Amino acid sequence: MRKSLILASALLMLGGMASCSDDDKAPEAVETTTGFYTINGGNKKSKVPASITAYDYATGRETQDAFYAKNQVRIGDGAQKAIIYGSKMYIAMYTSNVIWVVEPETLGIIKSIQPTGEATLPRALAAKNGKVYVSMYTGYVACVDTASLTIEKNIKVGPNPDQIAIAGDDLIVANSDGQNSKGGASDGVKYGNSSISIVNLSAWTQTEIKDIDRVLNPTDAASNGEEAFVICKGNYEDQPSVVKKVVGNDVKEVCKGTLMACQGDELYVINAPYSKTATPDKYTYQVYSTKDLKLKKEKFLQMSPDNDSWILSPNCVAVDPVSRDIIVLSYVLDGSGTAQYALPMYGNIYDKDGAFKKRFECGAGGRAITFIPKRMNQ
Amino acid sequence: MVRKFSDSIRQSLWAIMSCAATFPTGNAAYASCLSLEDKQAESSSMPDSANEKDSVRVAELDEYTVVSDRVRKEVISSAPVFNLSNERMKTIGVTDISDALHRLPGLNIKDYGGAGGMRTVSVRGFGANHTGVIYDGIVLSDCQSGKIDLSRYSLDNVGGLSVTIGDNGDIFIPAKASASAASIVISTMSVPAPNDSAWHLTAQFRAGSWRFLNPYLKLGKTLTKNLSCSLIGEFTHAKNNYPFTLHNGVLVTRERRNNSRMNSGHGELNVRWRPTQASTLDGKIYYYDNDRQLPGAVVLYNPVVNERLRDRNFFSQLTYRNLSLEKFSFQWLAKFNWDASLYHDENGKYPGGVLDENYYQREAYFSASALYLPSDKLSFNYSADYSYNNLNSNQPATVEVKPRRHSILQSFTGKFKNSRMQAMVRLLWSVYDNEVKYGESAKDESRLSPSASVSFQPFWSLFFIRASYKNIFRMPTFNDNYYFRMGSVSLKPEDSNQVNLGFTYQMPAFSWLSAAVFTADAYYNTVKNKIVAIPQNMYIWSMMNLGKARAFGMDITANATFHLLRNQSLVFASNYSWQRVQPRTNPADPDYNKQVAYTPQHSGAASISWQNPWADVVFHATGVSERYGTNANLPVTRIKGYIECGATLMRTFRFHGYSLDLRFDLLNIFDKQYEVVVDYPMPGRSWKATATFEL
Repeated sequence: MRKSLILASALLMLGGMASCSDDDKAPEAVETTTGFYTINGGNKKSKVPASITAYDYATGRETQDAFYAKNQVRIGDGAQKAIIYGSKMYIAMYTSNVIWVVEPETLGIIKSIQPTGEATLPRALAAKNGKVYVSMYTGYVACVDTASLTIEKNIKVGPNPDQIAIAGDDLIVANSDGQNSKGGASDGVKYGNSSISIVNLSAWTQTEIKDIDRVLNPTDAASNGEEAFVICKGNYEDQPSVVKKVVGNDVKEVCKGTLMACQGDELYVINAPYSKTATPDKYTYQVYSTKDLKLKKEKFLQMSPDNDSWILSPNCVAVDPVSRDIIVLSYVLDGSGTAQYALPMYGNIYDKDGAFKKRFECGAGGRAITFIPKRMNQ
Repeated sequence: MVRKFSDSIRQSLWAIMSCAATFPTGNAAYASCLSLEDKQAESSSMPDSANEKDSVRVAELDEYTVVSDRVRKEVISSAPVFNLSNERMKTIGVTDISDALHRLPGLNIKDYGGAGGMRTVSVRGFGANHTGVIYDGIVLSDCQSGKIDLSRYSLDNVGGLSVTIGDNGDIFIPAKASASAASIVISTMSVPAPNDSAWHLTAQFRAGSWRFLNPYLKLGKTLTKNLSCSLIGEFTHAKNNYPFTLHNGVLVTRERRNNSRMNSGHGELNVRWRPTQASTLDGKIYYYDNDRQLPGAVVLYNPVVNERLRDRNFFSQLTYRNLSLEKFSFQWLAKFNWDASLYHDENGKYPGGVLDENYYQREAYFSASALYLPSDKLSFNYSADYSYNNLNSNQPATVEVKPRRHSILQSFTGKFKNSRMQAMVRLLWSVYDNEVKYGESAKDESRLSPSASVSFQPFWSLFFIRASYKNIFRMPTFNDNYYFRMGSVSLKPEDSNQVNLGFTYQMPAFSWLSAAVFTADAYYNTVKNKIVAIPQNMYIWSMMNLGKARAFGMDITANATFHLLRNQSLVFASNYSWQRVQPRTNPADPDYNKQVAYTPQHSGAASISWQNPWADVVFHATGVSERYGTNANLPVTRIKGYIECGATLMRTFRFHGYSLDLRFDLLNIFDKQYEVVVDYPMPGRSWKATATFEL
C-alpha cells in the first residue's frame, strides 16, 4: 500500500501524471507508460531548431521533430522541460517566452500561454492540485490554473530560478543566480545571491535558504513527491557540483553529482564533471536511498566502451515510473573528445537492473524527458 | 644615368605627392596620395607606384610598346590586389561599403543586416581576425576581438578601397601593414592641392527606406601656400525597421525588425603642411559615435529585445614623409586611438534588471620607414613599428585583469624590378610582450615571418604570371586570452601559410574597347593552431589551440569598357570566387573536410553600366551560394544561397563653378529574402536617393 502511494506520487513528479486535476477526469493511478518525449533545446546559433523526439515503447521507434510534424509550426527557441498533468502536456520555452499547452499523446496545440510583465522566461514545471507551477527566470514562480489555462498568480523567489520540484505542500525552487556568474551583483562572489526558495503552495508564501556555503548555484531539482533534492553546480572552479537533500530549512549533502533522477525511494546520481575533453570512463552512476542517503548501488548501468551501451557525455537521466527503465541522453563527441552541442544526440535505454536495451537518436540539445502515461479512458 | 634616374624618381614621387594638383575640381581634387586607386597607377601607394611609373618609363627606354591605356595596378601586382577607386565605385553603382566589398573577389562578408548591422570580412577562408584593415596608411587595431567592424566607414569620403592578399610590390609601408594574411585598404580623400586657393564645399544629402537620413558636409581650403585643411561632418539616422517574411512551417507572417534604430555621427579634421618641396606632414583628428539598438536574432513568438550598443572611437594621427634625399625616402607615423564599446541590455533576468558591459581600449602607435633606391632595378625598405595596446572594462574586479600588449614589428624588404619581372622578398620580425595588471599574463611571442612574390611578363603583351607565398600568424586577441572563464593565457598564435599562383592580362585598348583586364588566381592556404572555443559544458567554454584548417580556391575578375558611340559606353565588371574551406583537425570529427560554417563555395558579383550624356544607368547583382550554420554541414542548418540585384540611375549637372550630382538607387529589386547570418534577415526591396552639391 505504502509502496503504491510512493509510486503514485512519483508519477506525479516524473511521469507528470495527475490524480487530482480539477479540469478533467484523469485516472487515479497509472499502470502503463506508452513511451516518452525528449525535450531538445536545439542550438539556435547554428540554426538547429528546438524539437521534441517521441519514443514509442510499442514500436521501439523514435520520431524526430514530433511537435513540428503534428502542428506544422516550430516549437520555438529554448525548449526546456515538459510535464504531462491531467489531460494536458505543458512545455516551457525559455527563449521564446511561451508555455505550450498540448495534447499529451499527439502534441497537438491546445493553447499557448505567453507570460507578460515581470515574470517571464519559463524554465521548469511541476504540478499539484489542479495547478501547474512554472519557474520564471526573471525571479518568479507562476501558477497556471489548469482549468482556465491562464497564469493565475506569481510569487517572487530568488534570482534566476531554474528547476523546481514539489515535496508535500512545498515547492522547492533552485535559484541559480546564473546571470551573476561574474559576481558583479554580490561583491565579486560568483553566484553569490543563489538560494533555494521553499514556496508553501497552500499559503502561497516563500522562505529562502540563502547561504552560499550550503547552497551555491543550484540548477537542478527533483523529488519523489515527498522528499526533494537539488544539485548545486558550484562555481565551475574550486567548488564541485554536489547533490543535496532539502530538509526543512536546511540542506544535507548526499554526494558529488551533476545529473539526477528521483524515483520512489531511490535517487539516481550521475557524476560526470566538466572537463575540456570528455572522460567517460571516470563517470560514476550511483543510487542512493532518499531516506537515509546511503549508497544503495555502486553502478546502476552496465556498460562497456566496446558497444552502444557506452555513455560519452550525459546531459539527462530519467527513470520510467512504471517499468523503472533508465534512460540517459548523451552528446556525441568529436575526434578530440569534445561534446558537439549542435549535433543530434543519442539516448540509451537500460532496464531496471541496468542492462542495456536499446539506443535511439534524439534531437540536438536534449535536456529533459517526459514519460507518456496511458490514459485509462483511451 | 643612375643619378638622372633617381632624380626622375624624386620628380615622379613629388608629382604623385601633389597629384591633386592635376585634378583641379571635383572629388578627385582630394585624392589622397596614399590611396591605392586603380584609376591612376601613380596615385597608388606612393613611392612604389613611382617604381611602377618608372617601369613604364624604363619600358619606354627599351622601346617597349606602351599602350595608351594606363597599366592597371591589378595587372602588375605580384600578389593579388583588387581596387575600387571612388570613381570606379560610382561607375559600377556601388551603394555602400558592404556592397563594395562584395565587388571584390575572395572576400566573405558577415553582415547582420540593415544600416546598423555589423560587418566583418574574412579573406580566402582565413578568419576575420586575420584580415587587417588599413585606414589612411595605418592599420586599425582591435585588441579585444581582433575584428574590425567595417560598417562604421561610409563611402562618402573614401577615395579608394582595395584588398591586398599576401605581400606585393608595395614595399614602402609600415611593418604592421604586412602583419596580416590579407588587408582591406581604405584611403580617404584629404585636402585641396597647394596652389588651389578656392574654397571647396561638398554638401550631400541622402535619404532612403525605413527613415534612412544621411547628411554629409565637407569643407576644404588651402590656407597658405604650404597649408591645406579639410573638415568633414556626417550624421546617419536610420529607423531600420524593415519588413521581412518569417517562415514558421505553415505559418508565414510578415514581420518587421524592431529595436534597430541607429544614430551615428562622424567628424574629421585633416591638415596637410608642406614644410619643403619634397616633404609633407599630414594630420588627422577623427571622432565617431554610433548609438544603436540591436535587433538581435529573430526569436519565434518572442519579439522583446532591449539590447543597445554604443561605439565611440577617437583617433588622431600624424604622417610625415620626406622624399628630398637622392636615394632615400623616409616616413614617420604616429597615432593615438581610443575606442569604447558600451553594451546595454534590460531584462528581468539580470541582477537589478540591467546588464552593462563597457570595454575601453587604447592604442599608441609609432612607425618609421626608410626606402633606399640604390639603382633603377633595386629597392629596399626597412620599417620599424611600435605599438602599445590596453583594455579595461567595467566588469567586476575579480575578472578584470587589465591586459596590455607591447608590439615591436620590424620588416626588411627587398625588391627587384626590370622590364620583364618584379620580385620582392620580405622578412617580418615580430615581438609581442604581454602584461596584465592582475593575474597571469598571456605568453609573449617573437617570430620571423617570410613572404615573397614574383610577377613575370613572358611575352611583350601585358600578360603577367604571378606567384606569391606568405607565412604569417595572428596573435591571440585579448578576448582569446582573458575573456571571463573562456580565455586562456597559454594560447599560441594561429599560424597561416598561403600560396598564390595566377595570371593577369590587360588587353591593348582599341577604339571600341578599353580597360579590359582579366585576372585569375588559384590559392592554397593552411591554418594550424587555430584558436577555437571548446566547451567544458554548455555554459563554460575555453579557448584552445586545437584546430587545423585548409582553404583552396580560385578568384577571377573580368572588367572591360566598350565604347559604343560617341559619348556612350558600356562598363562591365565582374568577379567570381570559388572556395573550399575545410576543418582538418581530426579525421574522426564530424566536420572534417566539410565546409566551414558561413562560407559559401561560390560567390560573385557583376555589373553593367551604360554611360551616356543623359543619365548613367547601372545594373548590378551579387550572389552567394548556400552555406551552413554548422561546420558539420547539418542539412537542417543549411542557409539558402541568394542573388541580390540592384539598379542605379545618376546624372551630374555641371554649372559654372559648381556641380550637382543626383543619384537614385534601387536595392534588392526582386525583394529577395535572404540571410547572411542565421536568424538575421536582410532588408528586402529598398531605395536610396542622393543629391551632392559641389563647389
